[in-house]
Amino acid sequence: MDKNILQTFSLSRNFGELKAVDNLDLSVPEGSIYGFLGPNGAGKTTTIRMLLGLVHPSNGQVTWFGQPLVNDPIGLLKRVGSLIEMPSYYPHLTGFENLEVIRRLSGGKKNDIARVLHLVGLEQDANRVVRQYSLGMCQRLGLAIALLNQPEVLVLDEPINSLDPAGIHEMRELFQHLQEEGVTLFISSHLLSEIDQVATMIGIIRKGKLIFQGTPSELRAQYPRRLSIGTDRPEDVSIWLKGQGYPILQMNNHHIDIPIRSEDESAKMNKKLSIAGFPIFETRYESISLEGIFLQVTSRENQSGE
Amino acid sequence: MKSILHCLSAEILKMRRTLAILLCAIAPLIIGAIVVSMYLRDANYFMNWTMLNPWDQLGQMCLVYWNLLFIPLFIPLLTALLAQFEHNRHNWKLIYTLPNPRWSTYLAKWLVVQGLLFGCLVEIFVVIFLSGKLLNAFNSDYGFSAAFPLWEFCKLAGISFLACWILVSLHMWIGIRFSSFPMALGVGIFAMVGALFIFGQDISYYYPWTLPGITIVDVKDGILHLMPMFIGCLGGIVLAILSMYDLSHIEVYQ
Ligand SMILES: Nc1ncnc2c1ncn2[C@@H]1O[C@H](COP(=O)(O)OP(=O)(O)OP(=O)(O)O)[C@@H](O)[C@H]1O
Ligand SMILES: [Mg+2]
Repeated sequence: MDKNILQTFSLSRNFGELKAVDNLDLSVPEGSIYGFLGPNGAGKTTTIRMLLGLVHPSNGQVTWFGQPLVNDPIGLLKRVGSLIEMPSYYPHLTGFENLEVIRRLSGGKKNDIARVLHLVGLEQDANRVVRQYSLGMCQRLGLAIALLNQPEVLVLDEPINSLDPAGIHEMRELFQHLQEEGVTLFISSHLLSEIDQVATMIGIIRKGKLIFQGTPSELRAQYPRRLSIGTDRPEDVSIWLKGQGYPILQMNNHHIDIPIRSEDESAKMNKKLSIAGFPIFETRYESISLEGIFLQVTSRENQSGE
Repeated sequence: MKSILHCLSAEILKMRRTLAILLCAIAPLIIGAIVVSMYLRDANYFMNWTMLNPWDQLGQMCLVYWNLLFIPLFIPLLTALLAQFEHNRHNWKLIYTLPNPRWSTYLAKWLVVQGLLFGCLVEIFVVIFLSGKLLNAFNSDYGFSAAFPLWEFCKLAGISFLACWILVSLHMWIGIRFSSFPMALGVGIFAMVGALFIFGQDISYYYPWTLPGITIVDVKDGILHLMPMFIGCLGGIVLAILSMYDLSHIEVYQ
């Protein structure tokens, strides 16, 4: 798992004054499912376009399989399948014909079409004109096109956007199946919940900057659990907590949330609060979901970044 | 070379069930219908026309319609239709990441358009031949029992075919570079209107949209004008190379 299949070095792209992508250093290990996360407008799609040589970086570079992309874009991208934003296809052709067009363009084997149709579950509809496909079927076709010619890496930009819950479940299984077959997946999303069950690596980007990169458990470890304190005097309590060196994660009517590292620390905090004489009606020790962490990370950057 | 073949075979498959094929099939028939109806309406005029042999007369009329009126609109339409296959569903981001140099997509579409135009010319020959036979069946005084001057027509058609290259290169580039179909077609329509004003003046030798027309009209005086053919053909090659260079370097957001 040490080898990086895809890496970027200080990758940047400006649009006028806007730094859409800002000094990005991504490392995507071989065989991983890399979740590339960020809120809307964070720079995910711009980054992916640069990874695929569609947009020129203002600065920095991309390497695939250890080689700079600019040296041999055609040779390197031959080993990569991609699906960016809305799937691309020819509506007047059937699903099968669409795959045949792409197969001809990439010089692949004829029997590969049946394989990818089976993988995405489109066999039944392969001979229908794509104009008649539903949104989810188009998405599957886009994925089938990306899977054609057995790429070593798949780059997918919001691939499960328009799928129903059953479809999302199927896709997750497909991603894991592909990973077991040795394919590396780089999947962008603005929803952590879409991929947190399958991702083995996570990169979080906000306003073009990478603000976290690591495994899901590293992400959890960085963001400790929280203690939710219920009180009628939240202002006084929050001032006291800040005095004790605790950042306030969240504060509403009668609850204040602070980060806490362990159950032991939680018990001590309970004791301190009662010694300090605050009217506390409850304390709740909760672990945060990755989704919560994601929201926290991105919104915290929001406060300090503005 | 391999990538050109890959792209070409893919482009051909993309043509299935498309308007472009239908247009190419119908356009020469429309010309045939117009010309035959003119012959039938002004029968006396055409029967007593002695300056040219009847086949030359008929053939030139068809080719003048084709080169003067159809081509300047037909090429923008065909190229825009071919480019729209990709603009429609934002396919550039896909096909430009496939293992072919970007210019091969342009060249493949360029070749397909040339192939379609060539096919149209062949069909026009058939239309001319059948129109003559049809008119002959109506009335043998039209004079179509004479031999069909195939070789003369081939020369004429070949010259006007080569003169079109500059239009194909230019409109293929416009169609690919700009995603808007109305805009691609609009350029053609404005240029066509311009051609109507320019036609007959010296400058029309350097105006791409009049070149195919000149090749035919100038022959009427008995001389074959090769100049517009060379300008159209060489200009087309130069523009194609510039287009391929440009398309290889632009950024792709579609
Ligand atoms: N061609 C362009 N010209 C100017 N600005 C652009 C261009 N493309 C993207 N941007 C800007 O760059 C920023 C990043 O856009 P990008 O599409 O990469 O975001 P994203 O993370 O993919 O968002 P989403 O989740 O909504 O897809 C945005 O502020 C966007 O407005
Ligand atoms: Mg995006």
